[in-house]
Amino acid sequence: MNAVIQILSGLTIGCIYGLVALGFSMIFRAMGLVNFAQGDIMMLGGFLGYTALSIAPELPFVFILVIAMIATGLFGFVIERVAYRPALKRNADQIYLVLLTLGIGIVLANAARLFWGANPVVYKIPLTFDIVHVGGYPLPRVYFYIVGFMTLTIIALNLLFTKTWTGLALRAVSQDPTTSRLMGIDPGRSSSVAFVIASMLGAAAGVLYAPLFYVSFDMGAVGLKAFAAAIIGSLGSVFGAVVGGLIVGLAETIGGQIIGTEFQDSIAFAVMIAVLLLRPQGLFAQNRRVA
Amino acid sequence: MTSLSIQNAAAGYGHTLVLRDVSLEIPEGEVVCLLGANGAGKTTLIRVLSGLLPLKSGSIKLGGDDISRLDPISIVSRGVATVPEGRRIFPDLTVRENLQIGAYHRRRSYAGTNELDFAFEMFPRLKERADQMGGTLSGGEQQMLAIGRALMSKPKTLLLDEPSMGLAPILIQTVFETIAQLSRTGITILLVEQNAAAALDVASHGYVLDRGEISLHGRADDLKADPRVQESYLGLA
Repeated sequence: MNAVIQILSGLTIGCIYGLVALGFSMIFRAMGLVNFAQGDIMMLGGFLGYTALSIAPELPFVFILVIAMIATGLFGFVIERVAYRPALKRNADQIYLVLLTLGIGIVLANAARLFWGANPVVYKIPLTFDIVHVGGYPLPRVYFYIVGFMTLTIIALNLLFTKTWTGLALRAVSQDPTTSRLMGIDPGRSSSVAFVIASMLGAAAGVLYAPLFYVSFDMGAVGLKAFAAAIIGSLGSVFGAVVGGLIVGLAETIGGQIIGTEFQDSIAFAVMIAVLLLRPQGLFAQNRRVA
Repeated sequence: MTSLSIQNAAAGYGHTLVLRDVSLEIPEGEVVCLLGANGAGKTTLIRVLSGLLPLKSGSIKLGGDDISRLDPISIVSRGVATVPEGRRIFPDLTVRENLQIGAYHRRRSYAGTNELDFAFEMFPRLKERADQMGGTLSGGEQQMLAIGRALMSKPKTLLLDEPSMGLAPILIQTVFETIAQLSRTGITILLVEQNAAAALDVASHGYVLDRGEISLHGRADDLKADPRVQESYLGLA
């Protein structure tokens, strides 16, 4: 019985990693940029949800989720415009771009510390303590929210990439920005869209993570595990980000049980290293078409 | 009037001028070909016309409007479509999606997938491969796709950059037949080519670009008879 719960909780935390990993992949595809601030975007989403809750404690959780996603999405739009795009336009070296994203992450973390304090905060809502019994197994209700949200995200992204002009343009720009311009596509608009979506997914991860654990200014570290997940699934692949997230979530939960929970955090990276040794391009490098 | 006229164009990369002083007239509804050796600046001229590369001096007029400073998005919205050098098919979009994206600039008036029918009629091969990735097509199929994609924007003017490059002779013939057919529908065409003989056959006028300057121009028939053209571009002595 314990094993079943472990697996389910591994898959759930894997969904959280997957959501953040999706953000890494979207931005990488759209701009060729690894945005190391992605984990701090998740943290920001978690805190914005917390603030929304303290202003309106009666608001249903779904609304908190949507508010945090919209606010963080706007935030992503702004940092893409004021920080990343100008740097890319001036052909900044890859190493400086990476430093820029790390720097933005640090600024976000410290700003959050100033604003929300150094102590972790907990969402004081019934959902945090709500346990449902499914087939005799006690499971936090938020698990179902997380898995449901992940499912909706996959469906929505699939529709976006295959059925909309915006999605088609995103894919075209990621393959050939110059020729995309000849088709009348504005690559800048595509990178805005990618950043906004990535930020919204990160925010959702933060808000969905909060009832299980807490929100704290230094939780951007979760982003590093999500980065490992994105790498495992081949950076840039949407499908791979999700599967990579699930692999990392499962591996660290089960591995933590077997080896010891204090080693949990290193397992994500051990898995990443193992995968890269066997398959340097990641697991789903062929599957760019899945978008 | 949608004639395209280029006056004293100069352009290049960094401090290097690739086009020095190029003037060219493409009358409405006609095919004008631009010949020249590798490195003469033919592709640079296409990049300038499609808005990818800014002019350093000179001007470009489309039907009387100055389009010299416009970006590629505004240029394609004005009915100028480009078939770029090397075809530049989106490798991980399907054939259908590659065609559809050609209509991106007029997406608000796009009427759905039956808009692709004309391209499939023109190039039946593409219909057979509609759900294949663009990158899996042969060179000839990719060229047809690149032309089809440009036509999806419903252009009045078409810029074709070396459409016969790298193709088998039988396919080259198909490409030039397609160009002749397009010309009959009234589209204005600038055809950049190394294959001078075939290009002069479909064109009404021709220009020869030599190291960034127009060295010769005239009616296609006159150019074919010109000994300088025969020697340098037609392989005749």
